[in-house]
Amino acid sequence: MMLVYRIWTWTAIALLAFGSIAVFVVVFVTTFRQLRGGKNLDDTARLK
Amino acid sequence: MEEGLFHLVDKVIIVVYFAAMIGVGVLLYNRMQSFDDFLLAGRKMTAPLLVCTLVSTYYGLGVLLAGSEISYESGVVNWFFDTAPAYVIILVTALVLTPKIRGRDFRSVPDIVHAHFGLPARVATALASFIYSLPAFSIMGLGGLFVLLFDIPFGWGLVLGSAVALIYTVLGGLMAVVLTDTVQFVLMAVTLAVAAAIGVSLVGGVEEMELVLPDHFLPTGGRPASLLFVYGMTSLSVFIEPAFYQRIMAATSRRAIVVAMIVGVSLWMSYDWVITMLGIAAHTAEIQGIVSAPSGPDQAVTHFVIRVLPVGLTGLFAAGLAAAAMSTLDSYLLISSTNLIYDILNPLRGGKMSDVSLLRWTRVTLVVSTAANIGICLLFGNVERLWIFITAILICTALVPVMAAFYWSNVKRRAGQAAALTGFGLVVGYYLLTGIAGVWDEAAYAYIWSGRIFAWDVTLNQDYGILFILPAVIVTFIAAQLLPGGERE
Repeated sequence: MMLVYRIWTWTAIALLAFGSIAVFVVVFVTTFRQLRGGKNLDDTARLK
Repeated sequence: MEEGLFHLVDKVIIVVYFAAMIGVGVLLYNRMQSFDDFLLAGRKMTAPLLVCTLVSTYYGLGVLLAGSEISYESGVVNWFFDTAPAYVIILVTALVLTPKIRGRDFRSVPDIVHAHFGLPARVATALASFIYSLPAFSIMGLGGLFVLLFDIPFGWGLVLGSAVALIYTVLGGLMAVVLTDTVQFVLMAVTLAVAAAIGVSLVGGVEEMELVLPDHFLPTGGRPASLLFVYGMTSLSVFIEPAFYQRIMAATSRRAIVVAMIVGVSLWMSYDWVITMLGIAAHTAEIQGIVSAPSGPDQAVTHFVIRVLPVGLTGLFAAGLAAAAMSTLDSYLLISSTNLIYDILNPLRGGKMSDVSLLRWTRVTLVVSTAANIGICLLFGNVERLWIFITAILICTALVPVMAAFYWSNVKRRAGQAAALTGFGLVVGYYLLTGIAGVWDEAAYAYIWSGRIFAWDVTLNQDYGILFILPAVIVTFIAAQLLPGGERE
């Protein structure tokens, strides 16, 4: 069980750090493209 | 935490962070053309934005402090029983409820209730949502942080901390909230991950923590089953969580919501586990003599992390703490103001308020809500126990009417009204009875009221009210539905 806890602890730390940065980069690119009047990443699914 | 913990570099980092947050609001001000722009970001919220705002909104300073306190004292039970049930409910909501929530042009939870059960049910639900959305804990955390950073009185800490969030929310509405949430999200996630990596390594790793505190690694933490059940039940609030619904309504598509929830849940699981490990590491470090004892268990993680991080990173961590508080504060300030103006005042005036008027009055009410919250913080001082109350009032008032609206065709209007009003009334009455007439029981760590109801001797624990009030609401709903007569929606 301790091995599972140890693996999960380091996985969670990595996921939190790199996952949040990855999401942030995608948001930054999306917002930048929106502000430049370019195509939005989710334009195809937009309701309005 | 003591005075003098922050270097000048750390303070500069935090001031730059606050200035950037206000800058986002200023930039977005001219883009707010309608009430929908302000409240739902024009319903153009994409999956990545949803991930950031959902994760950061739910993970306020309250979760960080409460989670670290529980894990400091009891260990991994915090992850297994206080947070894990919510992940299941979040995924169910994303997959099953989303089409219902987005089925019509709703703007809030009371909108859904009103459409099926009329004005009385709407007002009860809006009041429950307003109480649930009071971000008192976030304001208190932010105030405390300002005291530490700038050595000012607590009252001024409350005012300055909430003023920053208020300014950008008033100017830029939900879009400002979401964009600032994005920065806040990455700031709090990265600083916590770095702090956990350093903190866990410093005490010798997970194995060493288990040797020092073996009971902290038992999934149940030795808690009674009834208490585990009550904490698990508070996760039901996700089914009718106002900020959650607002973001589902604001999303560009159902696909965006499902993607956001799956990514969000994996990040939530990590965030909760990292806080849990930090709580246990802080306790271990104290036993090992690496750090001195904190002033209270809720301070354990911040005390430990600020001690072990180098200059610069401490400033980023403090900005991450402020981010955790502000990302929750801004979202719920917006919702509580919407509850008062859009959900209560506008319907009472026959729905005649114009778009411009709704926008203006919601902005004014944001200021009023902030002032009211600061007042509550100064009045009560400690609002930690508020959590079960505000969750209970939301669940008992709104859960049955909203689920009936979604899944019960031919439901009677009076059934939804009876459920909402009974839930609201019983929770308020129960908490008044146990809080005013009851006595504090240190062993039960709750207010207990003992007395006679009709012929029975009864003992009521304040925290357990939801266990019988929710079934009472369901019985009331079914009785009102089965009795003859009554208009069907």
